[in-house]
Amino acid sequence: MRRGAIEQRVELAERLIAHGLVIAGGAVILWQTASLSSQSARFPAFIGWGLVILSLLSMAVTLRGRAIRTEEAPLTKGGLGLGLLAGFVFSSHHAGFLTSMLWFLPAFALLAGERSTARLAVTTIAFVAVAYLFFHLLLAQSLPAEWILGEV
Amino acid sequence: MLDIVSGLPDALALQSILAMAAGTAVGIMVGAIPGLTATLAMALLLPFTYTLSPLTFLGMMAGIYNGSMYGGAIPAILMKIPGTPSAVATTFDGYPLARAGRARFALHVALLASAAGSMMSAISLMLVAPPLVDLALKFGPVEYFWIAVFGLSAVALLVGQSPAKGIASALIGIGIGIVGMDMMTGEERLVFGVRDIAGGVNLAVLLTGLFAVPPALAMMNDTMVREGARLTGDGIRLKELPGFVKTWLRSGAIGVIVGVMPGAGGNLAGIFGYSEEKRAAKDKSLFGKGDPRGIAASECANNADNASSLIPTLALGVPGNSVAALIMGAMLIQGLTPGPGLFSQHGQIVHAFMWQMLFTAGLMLAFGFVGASIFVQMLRIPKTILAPMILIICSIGTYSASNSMVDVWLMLVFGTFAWLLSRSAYPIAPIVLGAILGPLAESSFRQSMLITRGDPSGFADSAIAITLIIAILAVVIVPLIRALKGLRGDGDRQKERPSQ
Repeated sequence: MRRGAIEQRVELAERLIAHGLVIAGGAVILWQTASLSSQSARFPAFIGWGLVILSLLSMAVTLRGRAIRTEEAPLTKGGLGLGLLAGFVFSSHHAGFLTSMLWFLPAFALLAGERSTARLAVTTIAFVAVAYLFFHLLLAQSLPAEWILGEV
Repeated sequence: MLDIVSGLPDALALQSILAMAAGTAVGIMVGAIPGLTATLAMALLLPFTYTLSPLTFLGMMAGIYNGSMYGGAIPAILMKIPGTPSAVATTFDGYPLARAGRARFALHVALLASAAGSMMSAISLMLVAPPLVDLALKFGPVEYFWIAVFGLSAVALLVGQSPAKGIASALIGIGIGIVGMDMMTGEERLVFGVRDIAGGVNLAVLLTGLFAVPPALAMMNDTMVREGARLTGDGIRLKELPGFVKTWLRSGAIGVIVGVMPGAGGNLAGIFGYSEEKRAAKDKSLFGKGDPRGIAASECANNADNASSLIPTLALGVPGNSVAALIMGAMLIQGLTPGPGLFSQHGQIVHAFMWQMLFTAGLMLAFGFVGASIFVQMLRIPKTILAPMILIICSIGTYSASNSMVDVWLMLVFGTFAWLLSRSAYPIAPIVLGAILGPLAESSFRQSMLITRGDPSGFADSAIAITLIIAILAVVIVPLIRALKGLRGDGDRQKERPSQ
């Protein structure tokens, strides 16, 4: 079987939230400019107003427009993927990158739809080994201390 | 001319050759995997540029840029799936030719055309960039302000489908670009108490988050099971080559011109090249059914866009697309500021880079002929496993850029926003352009205000400034008409991909 990336519909609510986020960003910038001198505030204020006005315009167009489709990761799966990535970053800070790869790589691959446990196991171990050789031995990068490997 | 020759020994140094070879091989492999683009590969490489010499990373970038454009043709021909957005037009005739049992021939046509396009583009870069630098030396703050506005408006308005979203993306980028201390007043702006960004947002962190995280997440959406693609039939014969020369020259010229225009990009070049070839052909009956001229036109044009897109980047410091912005970002990390100063202070490096763009075209040719069967195997790599690997490399790369976990969190934040915004059809390329050109626009504007003592007419008192203002108006009017038509028609029905 051969097919391309699956397109999915982006719901109206999500698009409105995205515009809302941009408006909020603009508002925060405007709020911050209040504490700046006029010289320093000129450009940020322009950005803030621009974001608010343009996103309101986009919001109006969205409300009267049709649905859009995207090839980006689906909302739930993408959100979970980002959650795993956040977990990986947190875990890497405390347990090290190499140690954290041991759970992150298989967990993310499973979420993405990988079903071969043998392939997962072999790939994970091989990738950790290659990462150790490449980042530690070849590039001599100083990484956070590892639970398993200690200081690398 | 002598200046250009001065870069030749550096480009031919062993370290440079190895970097070009590695970059080209990686570029072809990345391009051969649908969904992976040159921007992603460069974004992954970017944090490691801190540890590499300028010529090493520039050689790798040159190889990735040229290699990935050709790599995109491999799945386009074998599976009718463009490996990169620029290879869309290659599918029109490439796939029918492969289905007819001539896959090897089709790949050879694509490879030769890609190399021809890349070489033409690199030569254009060598010939056009230096005179443009001479012109740029006459620029003052006013001209630089308009140049920055032109670059920003062109990319913001031409890249996406919705001008409002394009400009909003550019403004977001400018907002990120001005985070940190105001160099004129010493005040901190948009720092929000986060001390780690008081000195500004690290460009490598921003670029990695924007260009690597969303595509890696999108791989979860592409659970494609690919049957083994096979190289069938014989390759191209020497006596068949002269038949393609006219196509190469025509499409190469189109690609070079499109490349210089900010916001255009390889996708447009490929489509333009294909359309023009079809229009110029006496016998059009085979187009769309496996005419090799269609493959040659598309591939030559999309590769010819590469080095030429670096002309405004290197000469003026204005990147015209996201790949050029990534290369500019990498140069800035190394302390090489694109613009006229780059040619006077680091002339040898910039000229060596031009040679690297030319040599990687030759390397692509060699690797393409020798390693075709290996590159085809890239189509079998499961994205379910590739996606977490990319995210891991992003994280380690971002950490190693500054040995700071805060930067890794920032990368995650930028990646999350890029994913959310691109789902709602906000283009991502203008964010990068905004982050790079925004501070230039602001400082030039403030310097100009001081020079002109606040007189607005001072912003249009030179021929260059007036020409730039006219160019900006032209760039603004075209999408405005398109947007008005869209408002009457389909509303904001659109699709957007974050890369390219």
